[in-house]
Amino acid sequence: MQRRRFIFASGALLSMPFVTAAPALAKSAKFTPILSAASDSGGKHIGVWRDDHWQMSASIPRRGHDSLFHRQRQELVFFSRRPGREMYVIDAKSGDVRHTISSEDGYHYYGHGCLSADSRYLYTTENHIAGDGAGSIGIYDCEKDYQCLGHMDCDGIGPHELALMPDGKTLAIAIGGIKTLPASGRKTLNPETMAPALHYLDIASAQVVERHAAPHYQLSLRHLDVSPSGQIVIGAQFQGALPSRLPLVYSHERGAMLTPMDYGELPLQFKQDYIASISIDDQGIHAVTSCPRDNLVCLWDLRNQQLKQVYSLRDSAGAVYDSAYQQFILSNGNGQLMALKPGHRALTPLAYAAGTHWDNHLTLLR
Amino acid sequence: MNLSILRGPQARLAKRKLLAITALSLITACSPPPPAKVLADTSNLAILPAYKSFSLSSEKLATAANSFCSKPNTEQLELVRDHWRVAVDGWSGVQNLQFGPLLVDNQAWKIQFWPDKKNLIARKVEALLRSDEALTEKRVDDASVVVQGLSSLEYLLFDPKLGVLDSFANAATGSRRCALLIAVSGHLHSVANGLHDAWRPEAGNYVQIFTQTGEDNPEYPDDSVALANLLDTLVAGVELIKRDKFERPLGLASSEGQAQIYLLEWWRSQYSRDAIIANLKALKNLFMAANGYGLDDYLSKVKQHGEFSTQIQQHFDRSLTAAKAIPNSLFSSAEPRSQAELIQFQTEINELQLLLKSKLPEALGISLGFNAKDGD
Repeated sequence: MQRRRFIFASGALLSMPFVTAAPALAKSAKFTPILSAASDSGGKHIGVWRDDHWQMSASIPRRGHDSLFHRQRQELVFFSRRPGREMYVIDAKSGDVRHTISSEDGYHYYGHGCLSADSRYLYTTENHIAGDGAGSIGIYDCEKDYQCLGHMDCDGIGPHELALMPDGKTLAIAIGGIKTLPASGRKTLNPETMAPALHYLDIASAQVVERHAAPHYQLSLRHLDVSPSGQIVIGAQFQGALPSRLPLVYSHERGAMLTPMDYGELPLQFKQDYIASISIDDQGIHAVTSCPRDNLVCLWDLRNQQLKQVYSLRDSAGAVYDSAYQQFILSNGNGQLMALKPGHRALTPLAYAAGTHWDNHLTLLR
Repeated sequence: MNLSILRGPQARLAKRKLLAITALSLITACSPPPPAKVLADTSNLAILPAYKSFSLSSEKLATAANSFCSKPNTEQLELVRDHWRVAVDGWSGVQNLQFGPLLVDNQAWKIQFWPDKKNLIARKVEALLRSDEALTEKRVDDASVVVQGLSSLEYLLFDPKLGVLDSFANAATGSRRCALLIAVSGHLHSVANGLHDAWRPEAGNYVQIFTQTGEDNPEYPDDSVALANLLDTLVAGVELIKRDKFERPLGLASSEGQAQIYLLEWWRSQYSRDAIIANLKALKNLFMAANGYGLDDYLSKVKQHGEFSTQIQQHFDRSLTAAKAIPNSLFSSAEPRSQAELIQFQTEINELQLLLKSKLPEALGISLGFNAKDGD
């Protein structure tokens, strides 16, 4: 089948309303296997999806969220979605669950984590329930069965996604600002006094060394990614009346101000103000953000910090860069895995898991 | 039957009979499964005609704009305003579609800039008029979406501050206003026509992508993924009416809500209520695939939810009746909170919204959006 796309590029208005692009067929499209949490009629799973099937999967009692691949140890680590208290460590070869780690008493996970530069330690974002919902970073020793070594105060409520900076010494932490306590489920307890921000935490001293408040107190900063050169792209989910018309995606470099990415006139498309996954490619040239509530995916050019293209994808969820095939892999709640190749007008299908809802985040098995 | 032993008329008759039987069995064999039938009928009987009607109405609007500008008088002005209203009806028929070419590259914003919290339309249209640039379709296409489409035309044709007819007839301002009116309405027609073309089998053929699902389809790996977009359209469409076109601008969202009347859709032309009626008609038509095999039939015949299917139709009708019973444009409602017709409409649209959002996904067996509904 040939896919004809309808565009209105400047100057091409009357002369060339159609552009033809041949889509790659699902059968021939290749991608690196991915880690994801998912739900289907059989329940909730975590696992690895390769080509057109689960290479391995394990059932879990509650929804999972993000994951990571520990290459040296050949282990997959999956994090429970908030307010879950479980973290699963799976043998990447056999698919066996090696450890089910529970958060320390008085803590629960927010669903994200990252490794130290030498991959010895795992850092997770956590809610210090016993500390009235203070944000906390858990430290785990991967070589000692992921034993919890303690916590660092990240000086902000609701830390969500975090990433290790290229210096190997600093954690960049998206501070969502939303206070929840398990007693009241996922209800926001501080809608009028939120303080979302981007914090940088020096691991050696366990001190927050740089902080940037979000431009609006209800603009919850939840997800981020960092480029090889240290450029952060961070995305927001607005907690007030929608649409806010505030920029939702920001760029940051250490020492500078939080800079809104340039939308042109396109922010007007966002009616629900909700950025989910963020992924930057291996060169730091492009970033992708998924917007499940607006059924969109945005491609950004990091060289000029501008929105490059908007793709329509219902209930878009995870996004991860697959350098082996120079594409971003996207997932959605419909069970689709799609490829986004910068420069191509349309997404192309990679795989389809009928009846499966992919959860918010993807990780590469690489 | 061995045809070779038959000769003459007898053979021809037998051949014809056999052909008829073959054709019949082919039809039976090729009769698509119900979800595919829903997709085909909804596309061919509801969506394509809606895009066609929007395209035609925008063409007539462009023609009327030209006639008006060749002889600006009251009669011609009223005529072009009428054509603008019909074009808004046409746009309201496709406005809520949550998939396909409309979503590609910002098409909706080229047609309508709303809500306009900062009065950008007035500012940007006036700035463009004051400039000395040639006001062509190309210039409009290159310009901000704020000066494009029906909202820009509404400003030119209805904004009361300017004394509309005089501003067009006046020697000092008339020629540039006319040039802009003609350019914007011509551009609107290009956009509307482009959307129709993108769907038509003879041109972009998006109808094929939407109806012929499967593993090689670039967007829809099976029928359920395509059907989900119809569900989204119904739910999002009624939600948009309820929240953005009604409760929020009229301050009815909560007991202490403040009216923000300039957030109303089409407040300048006082066409807000009429656009809601056009939306509701289009959404009902989409649900029923006009007279074809729509989601309504699928619900009753396949999913055994006949009563629920009838209930949805009745609630569409009741919402429509309540909207039509509002005697004034929403913009001219002095005390929304104490106007009985508005409260009645609010009750009806709420019930319709609840029905579609909380019960329809389950009845269809389609999730409304896993990460969209409950992400993190």
